[in-house]
Amino acid sequence: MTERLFMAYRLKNFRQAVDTYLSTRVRPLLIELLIITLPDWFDRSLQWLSKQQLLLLAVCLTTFAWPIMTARPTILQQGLVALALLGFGQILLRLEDRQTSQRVSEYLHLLLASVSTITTLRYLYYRSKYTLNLDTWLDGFFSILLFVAELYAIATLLLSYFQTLRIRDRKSIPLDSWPQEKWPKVDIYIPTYNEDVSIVRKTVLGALNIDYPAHKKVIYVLDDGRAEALLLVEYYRRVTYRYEAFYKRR
Amino acid sequence: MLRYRHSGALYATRTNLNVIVNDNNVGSVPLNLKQGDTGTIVFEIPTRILKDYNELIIAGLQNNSPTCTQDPFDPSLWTEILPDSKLVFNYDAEPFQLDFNSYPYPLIDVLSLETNHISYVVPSEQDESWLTAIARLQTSLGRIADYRPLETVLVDKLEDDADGNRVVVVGTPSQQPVLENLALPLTLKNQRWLDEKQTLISSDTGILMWTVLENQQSPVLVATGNGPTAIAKAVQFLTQSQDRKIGAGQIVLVNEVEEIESPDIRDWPRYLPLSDNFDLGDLTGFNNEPIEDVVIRGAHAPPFEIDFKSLPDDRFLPGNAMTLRYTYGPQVNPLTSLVEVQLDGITVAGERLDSVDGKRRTTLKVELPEQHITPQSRLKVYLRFDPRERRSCSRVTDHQLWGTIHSDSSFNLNRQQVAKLPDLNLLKAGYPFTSPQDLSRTAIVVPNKPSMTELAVMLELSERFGRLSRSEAVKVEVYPIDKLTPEVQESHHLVAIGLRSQFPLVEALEAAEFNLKDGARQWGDSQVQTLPDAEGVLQQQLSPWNESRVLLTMTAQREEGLAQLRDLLELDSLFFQLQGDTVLISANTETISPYDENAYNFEFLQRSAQRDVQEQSQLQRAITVIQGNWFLLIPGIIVLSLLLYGVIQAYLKRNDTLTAAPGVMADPSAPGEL
Repeated sequence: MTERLFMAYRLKNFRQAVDTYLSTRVRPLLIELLIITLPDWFDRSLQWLSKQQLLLLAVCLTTFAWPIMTARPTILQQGLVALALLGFGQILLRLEDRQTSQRVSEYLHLLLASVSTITTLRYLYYRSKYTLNLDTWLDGFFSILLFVAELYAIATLLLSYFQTLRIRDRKSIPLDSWPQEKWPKVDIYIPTYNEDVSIVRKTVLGALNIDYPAHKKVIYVLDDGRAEALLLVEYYRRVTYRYEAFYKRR
Repeated sequence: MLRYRHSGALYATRTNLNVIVNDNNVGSVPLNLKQGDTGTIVFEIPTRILKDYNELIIAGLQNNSPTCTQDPFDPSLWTEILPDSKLVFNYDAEPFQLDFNSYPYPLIDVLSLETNHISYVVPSEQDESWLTAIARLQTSLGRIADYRPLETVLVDKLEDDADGNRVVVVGTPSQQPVLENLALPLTLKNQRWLDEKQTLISSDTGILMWTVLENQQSPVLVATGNGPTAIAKAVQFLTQSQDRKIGAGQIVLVNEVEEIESPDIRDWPRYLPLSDNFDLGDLTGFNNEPIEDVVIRGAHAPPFEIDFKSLPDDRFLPGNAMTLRYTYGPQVNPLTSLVEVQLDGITVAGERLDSVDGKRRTTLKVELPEQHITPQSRLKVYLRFDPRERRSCSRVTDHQLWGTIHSDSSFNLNRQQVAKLPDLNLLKAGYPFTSPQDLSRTAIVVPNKPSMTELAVMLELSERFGRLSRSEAVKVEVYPIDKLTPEVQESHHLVAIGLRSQFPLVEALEAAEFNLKDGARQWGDSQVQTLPDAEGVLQQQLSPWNESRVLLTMTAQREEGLAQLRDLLELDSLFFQLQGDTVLISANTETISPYDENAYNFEFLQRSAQRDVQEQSQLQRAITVIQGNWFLLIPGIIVLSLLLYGVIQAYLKRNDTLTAAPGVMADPSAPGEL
């Protein structure tokens, strides 16, 4: 019994040692390599290229994916490849968590996106080469329909990568050092159209609660002139109501 | 004469054996022997029904009951035609006119019942042009003979020639003094040919003549001229199948011969087309005609069968498909009828013929397993019909059962061009020497003074290449070692033939894994003395002068060894056993019967590392490497993503530096800052 406990203790110790080793040695090393050494090396070797040329180079690189895209291993081999790539992705994710630095997580994100793009290209090739059934027009119609839907999904995926390439993290600027008279005037417009009054109400409340001196802030509800909205305006007197739709019709 | 045995269970009066020649019944015999007896019967075949090509059918009608044979597949229903049955022909040779109109007859008689014998007269001095000329001629004879036996001998003098052999004399009058003793229609003066007007024939005009040796009854083909170019031209005329059709008469003077362009290295007739997508109609059937729609009729119909030979340097990847288009009639039993596709004897797909009213142009998609598409493959399509009902005695009525296989059935292959060399297994298809098929990339190297045996091996090899290749022209070249230029050495596939003592490319032997030395042998790091050593050695290695070419060496310590190499090339039963990269062959007995497969001992060795040899661009090679080694996919994807990542981050950084604005707002009231 004691022996067992001892073994378990040793095992626990060992695992802890491995964990610490990984987190104190391997992780910084990998991060250093992926976030600093590799990009630096690329920056140095590509410094003589213009922006357009860099973009062109990236497109050319994707053509190198052709042999990777067209390879057709057996199902077992394909499974192993998938496992290995999942493992690679998992390592990158592990590197990313517990990282406070914006730069590190942004770079790892970019690397993950490029792995995903290449594997998606591989799928796309397989999907378009081997799975389309164009035997009869009916088969062809539905097959193409589904295929287009998948293309749309892939396009959305790529777009989302594009959107998240750079996450803007804007810092608020303290205005304390300026006197209030110098602060700019702010107009807040809330356009509505057949909106449920409760929603408009919440929005108006939100706008009212913005931490800004009241005399420098004007809130407009741009509405089509429903009675309920007018009532709302009456209710919150501080809200200026502009009878815009009606005004335009005139 | 037919010798036969049959089952004792056969019912004598309802059972007989018919012999049919060219749709004429030539006789019938009741099968009424006692159990175990052997019957002998002689049928006369009337000569008027015999043609050039004949069809002989031996048909048996078998019953084991006086009224009704219940089961047509009863194992007691059997008759055996014994292998000592004979066809005896009583014939005399007809006198014939020696005329180039009928060439290759009488040099080769493709209808002959006997082996064609050809004797080459060897001049005392054999130069490059003579060697090349006879090698090309022999290659073209090999193509004409195809699968038929052809016996070639080399003689010094005309007197050595056996009676009735066809004699070939190639060479200028100075090379071949025998020309003076032949009765030829052209005059020879001061070792120069004169035409009918007694003027000198130009030295680049090839001369072809037929004559006959009166005392031996041997036709003689003379290919000569007043110079080496003339001889090359004369032989080229005979080897090019389109050109030789225009020949006529006893003499042909060849002024000009068209140079035929080499075909694509992968354009092999009788093999799969170059394109990866093709129709059944693009393939050729047994008589070299394109395949058309085929109708299959009856309950136990034989399959529709075609050659489906891949090129030796094709590597097939998964994803090969056949779309079979077929039609079947409305009388088949939809419960028990089947369409079935076999590749190389392995059934790869089948489908029930399930429509009660038959179906027009329905399709069956068949995945062809890549490992079964080989240079020897055959594709069979069975339409196994069963009728709706059987007649009394479970007899099948099957005339109403029919199906059609359409020639627009299509194939879609997924393959790469790559061959692992050296591999003698590929030599069985001639690869790589018959690529391109006119042998324009092959050079045979012989010693400066080749012996008769070495010449015989060289001829036998040319003939083998001829049998294995199909092309308009023959462009193989033969060099004595002194005439071999470094360019040819580098750009051609080489075959080196010679006794070890005078082997032309010794340095290649030294580099090889198996090496015959003076009285010794070396295999890897082992070395032994062998006395006497009568074995022949055939070895294939990558050419030391060009990694994408191959060198085939054929050597032996003694003449016997070379003679065995010649047999190896000549006899199909030996040649199609080749494998590995080195073959040692020896004979068991002094006198060898060519029909005895056990008369030879083979040893196959494989030691040298094989290398992928291909004729493709770098990108294609990369594709091949990755597709051949799936585990490269993982590092491939990761490395490519890292590259992409590096480039994109550099791009993004450029963007940042361009648009970077000062981070602190100076004055919040200033317009435009927000």
